Amino acid sequence: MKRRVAILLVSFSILPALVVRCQPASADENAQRRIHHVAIKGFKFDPEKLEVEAGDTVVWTNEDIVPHIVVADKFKSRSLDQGESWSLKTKQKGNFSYICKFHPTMKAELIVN
Amino acid sequence: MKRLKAIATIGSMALGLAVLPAVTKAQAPNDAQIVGIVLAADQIDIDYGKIALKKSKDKAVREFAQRMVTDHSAVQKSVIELAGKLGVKEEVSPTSSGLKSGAADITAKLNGLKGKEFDKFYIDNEVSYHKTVTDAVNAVLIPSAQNSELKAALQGAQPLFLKHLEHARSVQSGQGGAMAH
Repeated sequence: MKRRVAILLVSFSILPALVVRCQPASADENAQRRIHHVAIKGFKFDPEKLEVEAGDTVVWTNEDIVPHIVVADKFKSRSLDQGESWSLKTKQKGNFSYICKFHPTMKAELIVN
Repeated sequence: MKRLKAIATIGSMALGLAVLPAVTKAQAPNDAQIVGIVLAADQIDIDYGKIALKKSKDKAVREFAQRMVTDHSAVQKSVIELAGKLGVKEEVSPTSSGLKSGAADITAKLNGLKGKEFDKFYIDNEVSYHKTVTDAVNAVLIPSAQNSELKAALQGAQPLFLKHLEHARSVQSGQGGAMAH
């Protein structure tokens, strides 16, 4: 009898956890998952290669003291001063190489799946 | 003859810039002098860039020159702010004076050239200038800096000088390479 009660108690204690795990991610979690950050620091894009899903948003933030600008064939930011960000909601799938047009040797890649 | 003159001027410019790496450990600049050297070096390149924006019609040269004016102005502002925060007042040193007198010769040369000769001399000078400044910051200014924030700022500025050097070399190769180096 004691064994049955123990099993019952264990089942009740595990069940809520399982239910929670099976629930879809909250809106907040989804939003977090879909925003990717690229730091522009030390005259580099970090990460230099970023892979995202179509529909995700990528946010570039300039941490350098000089302005930078994100430029690809298909997208272009405004000039970003220190501390400023620019975001892009991805739509088209593909591999997009981009540079800072102000410092053309700064190169990186965005892959949209 | 014109080419020989340009080569001679580049040679004298390189000698002028040699002032920076010539600073030995025994003559290591103090923090106030380092601030003076960095501000002088920034101002010199801003002034060269402004001349190029007035005189050059070449798109790549103009873009590079605009970048030098914008970036070095930002660095200058940041150095002035940091010096103010640290209570360091810029000091004149043989190095900053040497830089300024070397720059006067280059400025005179830039003002006397036009067209492709101007573009070539400006970009060749920028390659040499950034190479020398990068080496000097690494070999002299960073090791000499006493204040940790100043040292960190100099270390943080290294990628900027390197990127400018790469950019200048890229414009130079588009012009068909350096005149004499």
